[in-house]
Amino acid sequence: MAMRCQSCGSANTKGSKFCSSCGARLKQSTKGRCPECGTFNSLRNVFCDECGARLAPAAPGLDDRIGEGSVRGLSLPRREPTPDEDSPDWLAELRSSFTEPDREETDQVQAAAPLTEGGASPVESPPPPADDDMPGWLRDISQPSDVADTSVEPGASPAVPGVGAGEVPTWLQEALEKPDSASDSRPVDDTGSPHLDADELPDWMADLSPETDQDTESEPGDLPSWLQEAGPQDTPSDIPSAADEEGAPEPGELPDRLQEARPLETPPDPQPTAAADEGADIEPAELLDWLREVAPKETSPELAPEAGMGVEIEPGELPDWLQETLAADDTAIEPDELPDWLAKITPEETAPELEVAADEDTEVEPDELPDWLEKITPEAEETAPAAEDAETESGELPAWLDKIAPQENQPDVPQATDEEPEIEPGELPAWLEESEYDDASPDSPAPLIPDADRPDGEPEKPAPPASTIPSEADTLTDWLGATAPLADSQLAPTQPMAGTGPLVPPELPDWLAAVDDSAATGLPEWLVEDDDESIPPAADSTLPTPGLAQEALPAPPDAAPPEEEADSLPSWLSQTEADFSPIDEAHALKPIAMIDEPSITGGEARVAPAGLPDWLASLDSLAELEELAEEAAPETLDRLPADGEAAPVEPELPQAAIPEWLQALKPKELVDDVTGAGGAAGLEPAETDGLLQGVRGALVAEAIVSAPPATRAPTRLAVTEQQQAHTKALEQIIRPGLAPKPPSTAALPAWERLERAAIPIIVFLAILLPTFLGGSPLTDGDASAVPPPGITDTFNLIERMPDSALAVVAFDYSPAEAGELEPLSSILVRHLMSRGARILAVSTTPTGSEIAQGVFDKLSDDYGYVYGTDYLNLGYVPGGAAGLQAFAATPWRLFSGADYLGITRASRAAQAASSLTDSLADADLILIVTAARDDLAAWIEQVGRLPDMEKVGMAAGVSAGLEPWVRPYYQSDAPQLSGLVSGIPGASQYEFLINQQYSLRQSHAATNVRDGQTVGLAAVSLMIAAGLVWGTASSLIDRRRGNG
Amino acid sequence: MAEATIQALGVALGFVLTLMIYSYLLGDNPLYRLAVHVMVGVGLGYAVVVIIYGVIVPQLIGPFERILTGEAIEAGERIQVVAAVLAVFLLLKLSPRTAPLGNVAMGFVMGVGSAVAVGGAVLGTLLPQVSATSLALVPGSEPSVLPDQSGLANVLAALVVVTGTITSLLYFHFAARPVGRDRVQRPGWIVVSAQLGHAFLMITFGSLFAGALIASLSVLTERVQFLIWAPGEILRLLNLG
Repeated sequence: MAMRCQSCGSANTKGSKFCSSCGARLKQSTKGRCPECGTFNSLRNVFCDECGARLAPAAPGLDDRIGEGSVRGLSLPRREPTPDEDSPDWLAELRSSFTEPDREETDQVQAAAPLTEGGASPVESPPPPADDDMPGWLRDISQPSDVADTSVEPGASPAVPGVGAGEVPTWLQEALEKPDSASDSRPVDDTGSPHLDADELPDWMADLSPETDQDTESEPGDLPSWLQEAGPQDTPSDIPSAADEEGAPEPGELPDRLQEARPLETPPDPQPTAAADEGADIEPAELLDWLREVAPKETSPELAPEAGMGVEIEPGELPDWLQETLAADDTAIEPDELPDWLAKITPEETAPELEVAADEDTEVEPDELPDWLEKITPEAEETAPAAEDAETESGELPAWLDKIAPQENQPDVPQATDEEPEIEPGELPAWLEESEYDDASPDSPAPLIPDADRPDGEPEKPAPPASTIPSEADTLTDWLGATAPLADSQLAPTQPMAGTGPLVPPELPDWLAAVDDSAATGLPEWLVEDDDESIPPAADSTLPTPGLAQEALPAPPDAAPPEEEADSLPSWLSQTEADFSPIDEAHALKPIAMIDEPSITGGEARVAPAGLPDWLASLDSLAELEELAEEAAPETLDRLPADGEAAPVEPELPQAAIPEWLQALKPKELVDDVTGAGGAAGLEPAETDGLLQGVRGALVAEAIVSAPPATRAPTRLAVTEQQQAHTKALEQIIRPGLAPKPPSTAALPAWERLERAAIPIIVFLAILLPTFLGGSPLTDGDASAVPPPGITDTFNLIERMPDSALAVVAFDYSPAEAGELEPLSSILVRHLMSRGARILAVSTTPTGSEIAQGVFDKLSDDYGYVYGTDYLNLGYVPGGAAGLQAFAATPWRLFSGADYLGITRASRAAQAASSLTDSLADADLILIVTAARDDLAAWIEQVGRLPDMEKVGMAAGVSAGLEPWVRPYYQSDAPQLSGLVSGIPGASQYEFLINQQYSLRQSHAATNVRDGQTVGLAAVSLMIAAGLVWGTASSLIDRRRGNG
Repeated sequence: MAEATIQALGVALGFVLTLMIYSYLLGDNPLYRLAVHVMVGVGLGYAVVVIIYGVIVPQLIGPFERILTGEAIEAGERIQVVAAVLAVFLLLKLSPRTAPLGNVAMGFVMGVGSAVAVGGAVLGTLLPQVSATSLALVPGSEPSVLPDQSGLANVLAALVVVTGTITSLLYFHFAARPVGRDRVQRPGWIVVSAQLGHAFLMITFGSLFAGALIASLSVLTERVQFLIWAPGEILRLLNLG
């Protein structure tokens, strides 16, 4: 589709920014304008294509608006809710505050990007939403009454092979078995570190560490359908079926998205690292699809190849976060087995820590070290002592760590600052330097676990080792730069490494302290608190990386053995499709929030303060959400204990209901499917243009209203400059005549006065010249005149009249035209009198009768005509055309009274003129002398067209100005006028014919006027020519003088 | 007063009024305005007198008078009563209150006048002119455009007439197609035809203007000659010359 330029209307290629014709900036067809850069984006864009800024803000109250229903013609058009709209408001706000640098990059690091936000500013994050803003499933989570029976079903789902006791997350088990917040069921190894048991691995982690799924026999179909459908459709195809693969696949076998997510420095064949745990019983197929989508984006390059390989998790096969966990668990991780991307996260200072861990469990072979570690190792070996002796200088610590430093004085926090490796400030990444820790004094780092955030009576949590804190900022790539805060955020207080002593409090940020605080109680702080407590704002940012946070949880003193934790797998996860029970949408959403809950270490039941995960936001349509909601949801998730205490077991849970806001989000097509209203066939067409492009269900009325008007924009006629000039000239001519002009009091210049007087004088003299000369010098007399056909026809028409013929002469002219027409009428009447015809004079103008009477008075005596006997003046014929028609039909009826002279018909009964019969057709000739076209046309149309008038000859003597109008009546195939005489020239020529025919009574009246007119016309023509010459000469002279 | 004296006064009055009118050549002046007002007033007054004594009295009052006096009237004069009633209703149009009563009479006048005018125009001008022009294009028809010329010349003349008529009508065809967003343009063939019609119109208007100029010059000549003739005539009528 072409875009039309709004300036010139030219069609341009879609996507063009400027018009190819006029260069004007084109408005994109899409209406989404980025508030940051102004780029127009597609309406479906959530983020700007140009700058990555968020485009679609959270739509507060959208559920309310949609829930009102679509009343055609009244309500707003319903649009398919975007993933952002599916999110709660508070989550939308969090999303809106996050700006991704690039859309593609965002897609690649979809899981990591939000964590960047949370990791960067956990303290300054917006306050948790109020209870009203919290979705129902979140409120349900905090219900302590729902927790009781969630932990009592070890291996509740026999349909999931291999999922035994370890299926229950430890945090759940802890919450159920050890309501005491201080208790921690996470297993602890010999060194006191929490033992990372594969059974404790959450499903999402199982996806990240496929090796743990070797023993798992469950098929993909074992996954609940809602889990299978929850993930992206392409996920199953993108992720290799790790359960059947032997050995690590080649990089080329990795899905594209995994390869994209893979760091550039990732070695093609990462070496396995120390196994962190054993007995991972969950097959990748059992993993949630969304976990496949989310988690592998950070670790899939390393994890996917090892999916489903061995029981034991090789360190190198574990993701970085897991390796860090393993390191925290005293699991030896060989540096060279770490993936390259971990090298970006793992700072140089981390290397010693890893080595320290390796000293206890695993020896790191130099050859096994990856490249990045080889680069780091020498320096790390030089600068970083063992974990026990590691002493981090204040100046070397990252800024955010320096700000945490004052917390080392906290009595509850182990003082291990001297054991931390030194971190140079310059080594910090930019995001760390720009973090909110800048607000704190570098000399007084904030405590890792603030006292205020720590529950009363809660034992002090050991700080995580410094090795878990990434500080290798220089080696971080961009995408890792975005994920680095995530790594930091996930570096929640970990249990002290074996032999490393307590963690250094300054190494932990404040928000981690809060997380740790909640972790110590088995539940996050936002869950521990009352229902009215709001959700931590950083929840959304820590969505898909629970393991990193979980690994940092300190091991409880009374951690449960791994065997017991194996039973802590959520029942919802172990259920199959057949076991699903109707669950409302709210419950269906709970697993989303509980994604982070399973703890790697299995020690604590920690629910990540997460809102809707990205996978939910990335749902293509709400239909998927509906399907997800219809599927089974973990029943145990809404039974989480509050404050770490196991809620009383409720034998019967209240029937859940779909929240109204979720009902409102249900697509129309789903409703139609349910109600049978139409299904797919009933889908309303999607909008193809405008703001609602791509939106289904838009009201028809909206389309009509928003449609451009059908009427074409008013167009203007093409007016040329010449026409405009003519218009202005005409306006200049007319306008002064329209407005009253006061008499000019200013005296005209002498030249103008002379000119104004000279012209009429010249004309007067020219007109009088023939009079004084006795003839016109410009004419040779009457003999030279050749009468035109109209004159001769008129003359012959009168000459052919029988004796005593009746001629009707119409004097239809006013005294104003008498100067031209009176000589003509006089010569015609003279000819009639010469022929002895009876004359009947009429007039269609009031003044014509008097003029006719004057002509008769002048000529009657010469020809001995007597009024009433030879001629009769009937006077004025009223009624215009109708009067003429009536006069032609019944002439005497019209003149039933007195004639022009007041003589009644009765008195003139014996007169000759009364011989006129009842019809005008009895006349022999009709002569019309007029200066008005309408008068002549009325005679021709109303009288001449009568059937009986064909035998009556009709001739006209008209003014010279009327001749062009009248000539078609005479000069045609069927002439309506038998003769035509026009103006003084015609009268003169006719006079010439009469004088020749009737020499006894010579007349020169018309000829005299013609002579004067000819000379005067010549004088006028000469003056006009002289004026043109004068004007041209003046213009030329002025131009030569430069005045023009 | 003798008739000659009256005629002499009339000629003298005409002479004076003519000079007063021509005084406008020196500029607007009261004499000119007076002459104009006198001309308009006299012309209107004369028309009123003519209508009263030439139309109303003989054609409206006369029949009623004869009816009242018992004189014999013609059959057609009885219908004058209906015309008189309609005329009275026309007078009611002078007042807004009674104006609706005159609508019937006005409608009758307008209807009859329009019907007569339209019928006459169609049957007396349009059809005869169209048929005459079209027949002129037929070679075998009687030549009338140029009666003295051959048939071919008449055909060519008729062709010119037809072309001039059509193109002149097309000149007033302003329908146009939109070109671009804010411009319209007539089709090319109409533009060309309109230009040709424009030429015909200019020639016609030039002819009309020339005729009007000649007519005006004729009137001027008659008046100038009157000014030369009037003094002598006055003296002759008064027997002074």
